[in-house]
Amino acid sequence: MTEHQKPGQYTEGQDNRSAENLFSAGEGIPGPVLVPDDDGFIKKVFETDPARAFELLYSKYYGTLCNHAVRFVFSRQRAEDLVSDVFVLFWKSRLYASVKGSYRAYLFAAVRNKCCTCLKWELKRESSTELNEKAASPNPTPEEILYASDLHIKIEQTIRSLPVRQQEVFVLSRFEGKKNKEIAQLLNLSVKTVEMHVTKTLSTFRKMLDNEL
Amino acid sequence: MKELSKNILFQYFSGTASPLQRKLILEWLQEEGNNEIFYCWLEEWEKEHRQFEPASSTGTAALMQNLHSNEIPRAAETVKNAGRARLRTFFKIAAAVLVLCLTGWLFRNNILYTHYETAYSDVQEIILPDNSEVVLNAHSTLLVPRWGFNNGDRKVVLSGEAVFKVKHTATNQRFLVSTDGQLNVEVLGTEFSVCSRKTNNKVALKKGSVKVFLKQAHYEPVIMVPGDIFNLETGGKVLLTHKQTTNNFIAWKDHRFIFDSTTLADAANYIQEFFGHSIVIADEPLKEKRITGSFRADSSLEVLSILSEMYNMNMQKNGNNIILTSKIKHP
Repeated sequence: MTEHQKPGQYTEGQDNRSAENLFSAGEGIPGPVLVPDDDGFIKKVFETDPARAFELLYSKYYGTLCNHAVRFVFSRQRAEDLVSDVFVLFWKSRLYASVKGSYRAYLFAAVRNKCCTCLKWELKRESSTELNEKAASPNPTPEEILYASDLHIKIEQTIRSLPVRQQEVFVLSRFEGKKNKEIAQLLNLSVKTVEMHVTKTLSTFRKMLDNEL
Repeated sequence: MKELSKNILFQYFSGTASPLQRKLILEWLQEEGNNEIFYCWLEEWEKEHRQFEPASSTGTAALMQNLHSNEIPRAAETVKNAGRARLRTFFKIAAAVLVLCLTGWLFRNNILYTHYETAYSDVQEIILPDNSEVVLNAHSTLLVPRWGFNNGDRKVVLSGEAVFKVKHTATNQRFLVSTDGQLNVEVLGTEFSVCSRKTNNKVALKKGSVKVFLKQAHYEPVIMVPGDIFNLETGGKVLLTHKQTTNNFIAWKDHRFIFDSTTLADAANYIQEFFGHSIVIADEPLKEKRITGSFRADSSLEVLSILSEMYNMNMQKNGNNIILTSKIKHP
């Protein structure tokens, strides 16, 4: 079996590597798995110009992370706020200097962690200490990684299992952030009906989350 | 185990993996370094299943403020550097403003327009600020002015395919559909569909009257009447046909596919655009085969299995690709 270099290794000590040669297995020969080493470039920029490197990191991952987060919290606004918080914490705690492995891994893990915490808090309504900012260096175990994925998968399955009307109302309400009145107008329903749909969906979710969390 | 196929992970993310596959993933994750691969593929999967565009403008602005309200982490500055620090702060702010302007310019479409976007297999109904109705077909984007139409022309930007039901305004405002492809459509108040995709540029008119502008210089704008279908073929040829039934072109609203002596190649292109699976027709003669039929289907597999049965084809799924071959062996 051909040996492949472990991903997440950076080009320290090999300064004359060209920008094209970004694959850690070198030479670009297709190996069993190639993980693009592109965070390595940003890591280097952090050493000389942290502000610019941060902007690069932000523009690179913000959109994708928001799309991932929305699978958990289902509100676009919430997702964007959540991911922004992660980035701010990343900056304030200067984690760019201390994170092992790729920034991608850190950012995804941090966002997922925050989403799960957010959901737990929503469910239990506790002002638990977990909500406070700490420069957590999330290094999730394999179980924890899959736990987070299982959660968003379960959430989406729950949505899909809702009756069509409830789904529509839910997406308009939580994803689009529309007011009940607007939804009522769009779907030609009474506001009371919309409210009922929302309540029903939320209770379905509560039950599901209770089991999962 | 050393390797895990990306497909299994993609299936897992989509919620279609079996418990056994999940167990495999768990074991695979125990190995050092595989978590990096996990997140790499997660990023790739997310990019393929994008659900929305975050409001970059406000996100960047707020974040930049936050960023520059703290000192750039550096070795502690002494009092002597206070003057220089102030200058640095000025440059920081200037840089921030520049970034904002640049970002604002780069994302001007995001700021000026509301984005409506459909994923594959998704059909979405939208109501515009003037109460016109739009049904957006799968894998399409519609840009609508964020703050409503003013008193001038009503402009929207379409990439993909949509059906429009435009309301006539009291002031006879024009309604313009601009595409990033070859067509621009001007209407007064009508029902019509616009299809602007790589393989297909078409306008079909049901009610009212539209004027179609081609971006190529030597074509005059074409005025269409109900029942007309305007077709821009990939060779650059323009075809205007009259008295057609336009219902075929908006059947997708109900996840219904209507083919009327359509070549298999065209049908495959259409299905591809709608569902996102890549379809490969392995046998050349098969591409030119004409098919006719009307059926309701929720997945590309459904449509293709029906077609396969009707037209004696073999259907093979290979990852995200579907390959069609003829059952009949040619001599």
